[in-house]
Amino acid sequence: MSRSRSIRRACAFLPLMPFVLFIAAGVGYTVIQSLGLWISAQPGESYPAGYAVILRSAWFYQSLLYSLWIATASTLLSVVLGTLLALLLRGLPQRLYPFALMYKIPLILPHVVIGLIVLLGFGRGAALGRLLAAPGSSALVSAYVFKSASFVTLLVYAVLRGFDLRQLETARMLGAGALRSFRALLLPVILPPAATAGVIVFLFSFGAFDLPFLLGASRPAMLAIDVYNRYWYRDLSARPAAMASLVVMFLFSLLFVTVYFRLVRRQKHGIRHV
Amino acid sequence: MNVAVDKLTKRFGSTHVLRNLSLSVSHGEFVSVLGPSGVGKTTLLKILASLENPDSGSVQCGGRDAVLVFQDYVLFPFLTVHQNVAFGLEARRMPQRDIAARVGRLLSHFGLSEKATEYPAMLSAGQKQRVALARALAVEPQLLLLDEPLANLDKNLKRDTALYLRRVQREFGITTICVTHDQEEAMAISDRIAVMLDGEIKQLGTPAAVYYQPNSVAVARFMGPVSVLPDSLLACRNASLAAQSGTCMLRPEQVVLHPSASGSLLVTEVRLLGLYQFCILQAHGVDYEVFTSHPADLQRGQRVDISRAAVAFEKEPVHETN
Repeated sequence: MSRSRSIRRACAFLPLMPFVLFIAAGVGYTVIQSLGLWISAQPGESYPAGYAVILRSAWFYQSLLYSLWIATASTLLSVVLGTLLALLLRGLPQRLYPFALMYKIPLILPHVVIGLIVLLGFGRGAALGRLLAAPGSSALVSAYVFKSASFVTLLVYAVLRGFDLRQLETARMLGAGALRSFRALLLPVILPPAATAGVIVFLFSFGAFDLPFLLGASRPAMLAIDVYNRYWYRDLSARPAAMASLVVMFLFSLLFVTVYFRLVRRQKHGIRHV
Repeated sequence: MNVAVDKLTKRFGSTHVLRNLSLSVSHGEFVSVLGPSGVGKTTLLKILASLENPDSGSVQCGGRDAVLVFQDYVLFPFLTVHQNVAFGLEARRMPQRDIAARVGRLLSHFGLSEKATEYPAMLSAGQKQRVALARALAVEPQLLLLDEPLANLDKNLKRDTALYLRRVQREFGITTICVTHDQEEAMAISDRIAVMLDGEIKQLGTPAAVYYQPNSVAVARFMGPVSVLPDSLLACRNASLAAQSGTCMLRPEQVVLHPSASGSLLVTEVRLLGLYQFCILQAHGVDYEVFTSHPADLQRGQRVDISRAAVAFEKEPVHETN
């Protein structure tokens, strides 16, 4: 009985297998190259592992910090703006909603297009560029926010559509102000999708390549750019360091997601049993 | 006078929802606004609760002193039963000790003490309703507004809950306005019933008055099965339900058919509808639709005479009409 259940469970995972194998192969190959193996076409030839190189490199730490800063700023701004937009949409009369769907436009635009739009806005001669006077970081964060805020709106609004606005009316009749109503009634609804969207936006901005390639500063560069430069523009001996950087990024993302899901599970557990 | 509504008018686009609606409710009274779906009952409640603004007219004693309990209770899903009931008191910045005491009393009164730490999703419909009532009564409003309070309950539970609501309303001595489309529910629960048709209160009176002494055929028909018959058909003609000159309106229990071979009416159709029968009686080529509970064994093709039976409730005075 339990054996057949195990077989059924294994069968349920079968459709996922190609995906899992593909990821596992990619990660495995990266780890092997980060150790200096399988880089050269010559059999048996190897290079020193890349970890010592990157851990001794001030450039790597600067890139890591810069990537974290860009990802954090983009995430916070996207979540705040996207959530505000979702709240605004939820309060709109039904007849205006077709016009409000414009918020989805950045979702369908490729990153390169958004990068070019922001580049034009942040170029040396452009008004925004002169105004903010820090083209690298500001342009990159703006591009991520432009793209990601609508993604946050999409997730938060989907949940808010199920929110009964009469809860707010009831709270008002009972004497609650806007802040108390928001904290007690809206925040518990908004927080889970906003946090999930935030995690996705953070990991994407932390590891993305295309927008930093178009808009980012070159010194320090985002980690993805650093990896790209080490891999393609230096000799073979730099490749283990490039792959080691990728492994560090992968482990950091894994740690981030694990901590997030642990927190979410604890919160859900608390709500059920308080 | 506790609540005075004067000439309220409300439109949504081109639809006239309320037309010069006036209503007065005394302190501690339980009044049901009874009308078909879509007649504007909930709009009236929302105006009384200050959730909607009327186009014209005035309401005295609405605003923050009124709390509306929605049909589906609208409990706060992320708050426990205790937190739901305490919500209004915390919003009014009452000291924590007083909040705990008042909430404890209310939970005990409504039989919810054991559910204090549970979330609304874990409660039955009846328990949710009690939480909603406790939450509303916690802030001691001057006016309690109930939107179809029995609509979400099983038929068997309705009568018990109606009596329960009535007892709670008396114990707390709170003026209550309830809207419903269910005649039985309104009669079981109310001191007075306001029959609302076409955006207006057509009649306001005790349950017996609006049932046995309706002031129009429309009100009579809405309150339940009624036979509108010419006086000339009736053997006994002291009808108090005069609809217009020469006709009268009778409830099923007031209509008595007497089978007789020489009867003036021919029974052409009979249908049993539970406690009473619907039949079509024919006289001089004219069909009359009649609801009756006497006799129980009416047969198609029989000839009958018709008379009117007096009913005890009829003697109750009409309280007030608009």
